[in-house]
Amino acid sequence: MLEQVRRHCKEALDAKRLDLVYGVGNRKAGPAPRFFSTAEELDELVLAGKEPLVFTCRPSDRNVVDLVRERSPTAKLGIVARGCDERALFELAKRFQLSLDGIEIIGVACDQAQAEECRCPRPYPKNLAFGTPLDKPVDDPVLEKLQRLPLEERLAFWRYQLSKCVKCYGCRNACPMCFCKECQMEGELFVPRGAQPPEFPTFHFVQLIHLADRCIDCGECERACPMDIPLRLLKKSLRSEVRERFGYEAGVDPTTASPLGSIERGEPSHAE
Amino acid sequence: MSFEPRIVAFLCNWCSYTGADLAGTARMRYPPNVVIIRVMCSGRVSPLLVMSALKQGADAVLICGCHIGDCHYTTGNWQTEKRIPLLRKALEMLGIDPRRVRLEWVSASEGARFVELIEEYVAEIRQLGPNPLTGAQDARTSPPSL
Ligand code: SF4
Ligand code: SF4
Ligand code: FES
Repeated sequence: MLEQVRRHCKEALDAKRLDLVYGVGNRKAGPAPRFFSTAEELDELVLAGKEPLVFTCRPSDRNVVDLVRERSPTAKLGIVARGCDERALFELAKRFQLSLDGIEIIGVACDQAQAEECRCPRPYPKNLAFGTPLDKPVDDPVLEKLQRLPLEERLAFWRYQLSKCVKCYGCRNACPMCFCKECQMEGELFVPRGAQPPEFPTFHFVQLIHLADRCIDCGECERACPMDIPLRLLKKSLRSEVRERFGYEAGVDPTTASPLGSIERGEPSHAE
Repeated sequence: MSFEPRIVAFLCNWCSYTGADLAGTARMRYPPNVVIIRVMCSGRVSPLLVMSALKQGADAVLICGCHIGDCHYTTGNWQTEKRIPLLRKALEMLGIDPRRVRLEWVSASEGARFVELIEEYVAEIRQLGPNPLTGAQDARTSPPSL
């Protein structure tokens, strides 16, 4: 499949259908996101690696698409995207963080092994170009266990887990959906300054609740955490609550607006 | 000494606060366990405010707004209605009983209903016991199994 994707990108560059490809490249230090502008460079394109592509970066105000647009406003950009990458793109576009104009999403499906390693609920993109989508979702056995715990034990579990936090903000910095310029995890209004570990559970609750309808379930927060706090369990359960209540899943669809940020049919002042 | 719950109630200015006011001017009695905070609209009650109240000693938080369709900002309470259940789910996943947060609609003429609501909620929280977030911290150092 990798060869097919490389060939597709090379042809697109040759035919000038695309000017630039963004994807994961193999470096000596390991796979990392990069741009490809020639056929030779594309020989380094890989599909492996669990880390999703990086689109936004803190503390910079600019995302990857902005960087491309700054240099050449009309460049046609191809993005080799797995399910999680595409969800990030869609959700960022819907929330006015980037524009999908002039972008071709070259969607690739992940295989069973990758999906299981990532405990991914949807290991394929909507714009699927290569690979076969898995037909049944990957369960999360850890989450199921957590849900079966009685309340007191769950509280004890999180008290312990969150007390490991060293307040490095890695979970927020790595999250593709954390793009607010002012972050309440830093402000003293809700999270007391200087506490180490940060106040339980406020610090983590801020991100959890703010991402309820935004989390694309990529797992970056958990991967970034140096203290191995299973942050994604919380995010996952809120994401599925949003799906059950409103039928909304962040990033799955490029146009449907989140129910939390919009007025829906039937609600007052909804314009038919 | 028996446990007396402390409940923080966020009441919207236009309906629910006026409803509570009506109960007051009509000299109806209700348990003194409630601290009322007036907000302009139930849609103002961010989950972070609720968490702040729970951290600062509330055993439960009640949010009251105008009935659906009556919000003075048209859609404020529609947003509240969508948001609060997610907050309750987040609390539940963290191990905090979601009954500690409750959303109710109380209109300006429902003074008596407000009194009933408070009586009932205070009784429910008295049963539930103190909020574990405000009690002495459980200083566990080994991971509870999962
Ligand atoms: S899984 Fe974590 S990093 Fe990924 S979108 Fe959700 S909160 Fe952000
Ligand atoms: S990445 Fe982990 S240790 Fe760092 S702030 Fe987030 S939860 Fe705390
Ligand atoms: S003004 Fe009462 S709920 Fe909005």
